[in-house]
Amino acid sequence: MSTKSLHIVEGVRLPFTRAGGKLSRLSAGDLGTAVVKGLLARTGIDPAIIDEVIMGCVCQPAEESNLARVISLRSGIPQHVPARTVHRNCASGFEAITQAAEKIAANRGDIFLVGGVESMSQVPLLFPQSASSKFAQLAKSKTLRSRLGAMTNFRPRDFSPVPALLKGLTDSTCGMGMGQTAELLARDFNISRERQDRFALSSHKRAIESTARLKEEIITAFDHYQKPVLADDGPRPDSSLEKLNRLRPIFDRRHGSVTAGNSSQVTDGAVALLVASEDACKKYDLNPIGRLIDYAYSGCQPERMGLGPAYALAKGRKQGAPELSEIDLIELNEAFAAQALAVMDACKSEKFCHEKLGLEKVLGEMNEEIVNVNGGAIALGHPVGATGARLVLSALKELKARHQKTALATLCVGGGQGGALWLERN
Amino acid sequence: MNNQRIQITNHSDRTVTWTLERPDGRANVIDQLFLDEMSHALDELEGDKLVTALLIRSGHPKIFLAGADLTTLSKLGSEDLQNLLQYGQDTFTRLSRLDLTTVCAINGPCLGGGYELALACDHRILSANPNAVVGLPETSLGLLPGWGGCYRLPRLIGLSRALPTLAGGRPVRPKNAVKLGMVDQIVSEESLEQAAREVLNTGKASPRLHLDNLPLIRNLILFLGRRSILKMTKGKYPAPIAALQVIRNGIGSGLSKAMEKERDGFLKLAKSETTSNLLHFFFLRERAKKVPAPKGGSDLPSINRVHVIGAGKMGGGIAQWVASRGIPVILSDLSPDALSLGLSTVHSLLAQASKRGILSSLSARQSMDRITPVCESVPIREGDLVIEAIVERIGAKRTLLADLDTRSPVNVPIATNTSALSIDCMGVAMENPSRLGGLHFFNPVHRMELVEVIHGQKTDPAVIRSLLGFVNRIGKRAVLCKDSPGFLVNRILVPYLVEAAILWEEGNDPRAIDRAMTGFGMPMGPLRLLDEIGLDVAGHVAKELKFRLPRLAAPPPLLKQMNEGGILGRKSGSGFYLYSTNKRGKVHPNRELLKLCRRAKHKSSISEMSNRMNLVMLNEAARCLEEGVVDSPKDVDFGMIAGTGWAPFRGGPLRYADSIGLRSIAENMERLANTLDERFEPCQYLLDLARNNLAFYSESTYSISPLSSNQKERITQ
Repeated sequence: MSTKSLHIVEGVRLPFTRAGGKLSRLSAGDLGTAVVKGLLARTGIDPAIIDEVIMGCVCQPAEESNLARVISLRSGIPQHVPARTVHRNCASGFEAITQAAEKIAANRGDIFLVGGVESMSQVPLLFPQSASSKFAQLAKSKTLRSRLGAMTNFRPRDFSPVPALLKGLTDSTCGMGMGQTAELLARDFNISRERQDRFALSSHKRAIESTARLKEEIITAFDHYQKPVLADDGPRPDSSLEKLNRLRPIFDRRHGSVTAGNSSQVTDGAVALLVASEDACKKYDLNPIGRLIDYAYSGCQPERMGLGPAYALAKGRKQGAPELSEIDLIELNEAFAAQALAVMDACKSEKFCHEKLGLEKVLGEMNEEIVNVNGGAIALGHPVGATGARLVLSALKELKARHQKTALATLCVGGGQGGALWLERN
Repeated sequence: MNNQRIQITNHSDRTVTWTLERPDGRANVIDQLFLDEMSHALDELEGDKLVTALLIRSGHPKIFLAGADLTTLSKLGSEDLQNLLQYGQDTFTRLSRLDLTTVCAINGPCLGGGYELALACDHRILSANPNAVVGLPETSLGLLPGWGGCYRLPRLIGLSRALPTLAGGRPVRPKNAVKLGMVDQIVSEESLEQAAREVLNTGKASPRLHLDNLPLIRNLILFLGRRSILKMTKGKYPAPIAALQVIRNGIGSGLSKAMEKERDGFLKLAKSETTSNLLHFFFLRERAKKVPAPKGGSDLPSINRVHVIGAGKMGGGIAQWVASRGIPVILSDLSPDALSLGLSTVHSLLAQASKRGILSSLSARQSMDRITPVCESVPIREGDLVIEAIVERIGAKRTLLADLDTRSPVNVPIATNTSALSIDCMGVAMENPSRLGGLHFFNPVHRMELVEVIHGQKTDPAVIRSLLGFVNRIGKRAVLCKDSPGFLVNRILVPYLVEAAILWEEGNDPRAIDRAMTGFGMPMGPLRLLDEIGLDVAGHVAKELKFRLPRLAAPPPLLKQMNEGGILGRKSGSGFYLYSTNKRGKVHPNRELLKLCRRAKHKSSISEMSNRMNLVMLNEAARCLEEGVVDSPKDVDFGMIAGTGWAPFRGGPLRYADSIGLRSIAENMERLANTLDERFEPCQYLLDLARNNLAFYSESTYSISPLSSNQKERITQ
C-alpha cells in the first residue's frame, strides 16, 4: 500500500432488523440519514470538512437515485460535499471503503464518510418487461379504439410482479440462485447438513452472548410510530439443533441441505464510518480506531461465488498482505453456512489451493475460534449493501476489546467475486 | 425625481413598472411620502395615453408591502388622521380608475394598506412561498381597513368570504388566498415576475357578480356574521362589528358615500381605548424584537447548532421549533423511550403544521431530518448552543450542568429551560457559571411567542446577547429578566392562580370563578388554566415560589390533596372540572373535590372575585418593578399578554392599573388587607406611586424608580 493509508476514525450502525419488521417503514434514504446523523453527532466533526460521501447500496430505490447524495443532503452535510453510491453486490460496503482508500492514496481528498445501506423491506415489485412495453403502448394510444386494442394485449402473467430482491439474488449470467450456489459448494466439499446447522447455531449463540459488546457499535433507531429499536432482532436465544434440523431445504427441496436456518437473514440495516488520512487525523485531532493495511478483490466462477474469499486471499498473498497465520481475528461473511464452511475448507485444502488458486503453499487454517466471534450474518442478518461496512466496524471494535492487532474482513460476492480487507488497530 | 419609496421604470413596450423599495433597504410601509410619490406617479400615468399596463412589484427581497406606518399613524391627531385616510382612499381610487391594466406581483407579506393597494389593481399574482401572506389584519389591532378595503374586498370575493377575512383579521397563506379569490393565481417565487408580465396584456378585470352580495342574501349573511362575531369577541373587541357596519353601508352604496362611512368608522375606532391598548401591545411586540442587550464581554461565535437535552414536552417542543426555523438540533435523552416519545411529538407537530399549510410536507420532513436523536452524550463544539430541559429538580440539573460545563468549549453558551428554579443556584455546580443563562420557553412552545431570557448574577453579558439574538432568530420575542423566583410571568401568574384556588375553598362555584376572569377578558379562567397546566406542575411551581418568597399566600392544601389523589387536571381526566373523552361535550365541575376538602359556604360576587384575583396579580407585577426583575412596565405588560394571553385589549396589567388610577387601587388593596389577609398589602413601590399621584407609565416614574437604575447598573457591569 502507498504511504497514505486510510484510517477508520469511528463508525456506527443501526440495529439490523428483519425485513418486513420493525424498520420496514423506513426507506433506504431514511435508514442512511439516521445512521449518518448518528455518526456525525458521535464524532462531533464539522461536516463541511468531509471531502466526499460514498455509500454502498445494492437495491437502489427508484425514488432515491444516487442514494448517497440523498443521504448526504438530508443529514445536513453541506451542498459542496459531493456524494456517490457504489455497487459491488454484497461487497458494496467494502467498495465504499476501498474507493475512499484509493482517493486518499491518490491525494484526492482526506476525509470521507463511507458506509452501506439496504432496506430489503422496501425492495420494489417489478412487472415483467412484456408488461411494461404493453403499458407503454397503452399510454401512446390516443383513440378509444387503439386504447381498447392495447388493453386486449395484456395477459394474466403480465400482472404477476416479481420482487426485485428475488431477481437480485439470482445470477443472470449462470442462471443460479444464490442458495443454489451454496448447495453446489456443500456437495463439492461434502459439507453435511448437521455441520451447517451446528455452524448456524454457533452464530446465534455467539451473537446472543455478545449483545453487550455489539451495543457499542449500534445506535438506537427510531420510527415515529413505534417503540425505539435498540438491538439486532435476528439472533434467536431459543435456537437449537433440533429446531434447525426440522427446517426443510428451500433451494433444493429433495436433496438439498441449505435451509432458512443455516442461511443469512434478510434484514434492513445501515452502517456509516468516518475515514481519514493520517494527516487529516492529526490536523483535526481525530483519534482513529484502526487503519486499512491492504485489500483485494478477485473474480471467480459465478456458480461457485461462495468461494470468493479464498480467491481474494490468494490475490492478497501476491500483494504481500498478512498471512492467515498472522491474523488475530476474522470476519468471514456468512451468506450461507455451507459457503462459509467451504471457504474454511478450501483455504486449508492443498488440492484446492494448488489447482484452483495456483498456490504452492495452502492459504492456511481459519481457526473457528477467531472467526465471527460475535456471530455472523446467519444470526445478525445480511442487509446486502451494508454488510461489508459492518464487518469492518465489528472487526475493529473487537480488536480493541481484545487488545489485538490484525483482523481480516472478507466476503463472497454474487456474480463470482470475493473481497478481503486487512485491518490493523492503531 | 429622486424617489424614496417608489422607483418608476418606463419600458419600451409601453408598460411601466413601479418598484416599491426604500434606499435604506427597510421594509416597505405606506406613509405620507409613499402616498405623495404614488400620487405623483399617478399624475404621469393619467396624462400619458400611450402606456398600456402597470406592474407593481417590490424591490425588497422578503416583503411586498407591510401596510400603513403605524408608528406615525398612532401619533396623528384626529384631523390629520382624517386627512391621511382621505388621501389614501383618493389615491387608491385613482389607481383603480386608470385606463390601463394594473398588476401586482406579490413576493412577500402584503397586508393591511398594502393589500388595499393590491385590491385597487386589476390582477394580483402571489408567490407560493408560505411567508407571502395577504390580508387585512386591521381588526386585530382594533382598527378597520380605511383605504377602501371594506368596499373593495366584498366586491372582489363576495360577502360570505370577505366578512370572515375582515372580521377575523388573520393573514391568509397563499393556498387559501387563491382558494378565496383574494389573489388570481399563485406561482413559484422564481417565476413570479414573468407570470405577472404575462398578465399585463390580458386587459382590465371586469367586475364580478357575487350572489351573496345581493340584498336579501347579504342581509342574512350580515345577520349571521354579526352573531358569530359577538360570540367570538364576547363584546370585548369593537373593531370587527364596526367593520361589519362599514361593509353593510358600503356594499349597497356608491363609492364616495362608502368611503366616507369607512373613514368615520375608522376614526371612531381610533379614538377608543381598546384600540389604543391593542396598538400599545403591537408596539410592545415590536419593541421585544429589539431588546436592548447588555454590553460587555467579548462576542460569542454565532450559533449554528443547538443541543436540546431532555426530550420531554418542553424539550421536544423546543427541538421542533428550532429545527423548523432551519437550525440543526441534537435532541438527547438517556432514555430511548422518552426520546422516542419526544420524536413522535415533534413529528405530529410538524404533520399538523403541514396539514394546516404552514409548512410544505417537504419542509416538514426537512425539519425532521434536522433533528438528530441521541441516547448518549455527544461532543459539543464551538458554535453550539446547549439548552437543558430535563426534569425540574435542582440536583439533577446541577449534575447535568456540571458535566456540560466540563465538556463544552469555553465559548459555548449553556441555557436552562426552567420555570421555577434559580439560575444562580444551579450555576454553583459549574466551574464557569458565567456561561449559564436561562431560556424560559412557554408551553406549548409552538404557540407561545414569549421566551423569558434570564440573567443570572454571574451570567456573562455576551451570553445574554447570544441568547437574545437566538430568540430573535427563531422568531420568538424575548423579555429579559433578572434571576428571581418565578422570573416575570410565573411570579405574577401563580399568586393569581392560588387566589382562584382560595376562592374555590371559600365556597365559590368554579364556573363563577372562571367566569369572573373570562368576563374580564382572559382567554381562559384560572381554574381551567390550572387544569391545563396540570396540578402537579402548578403545585410544584407554587410550592417552590412560596418557599423562596415566604410573603406569598400559601397554596391551599386542596392542591396538595388533589395531587395526592391523582387528580392532575386535564391530563388525568379530572381536575377542577371533569374532562370526558368526548371533545365536544361541556365540562362539568368535579364534585369529587368536595369529598377531598372541606370548604366553606361563602359566596363572593363576580366583581369581588375578579377584583381580588386582579389585585394580587397587580401587586406582584408592581413588585417585579420594585425588585428590578425587569426594567420597565412595558416588559411586564408584554410578558403577561404574550406569555399568558392576559386580556390584550386592556393593554397589560400595569397599563390597566394606570387606567383605573393607582390611588384607588392602593386603597382597594388596603381595604382587603384589613378585612381579609395581609397578602393584599400593597407593596411600597405601588404606595409611593399612588401617594405621589403617579402612574407606572408616567415619564417621571421611570426616572425616579431607584431599583430600575440598579438593574441598569447590573446589566452594564
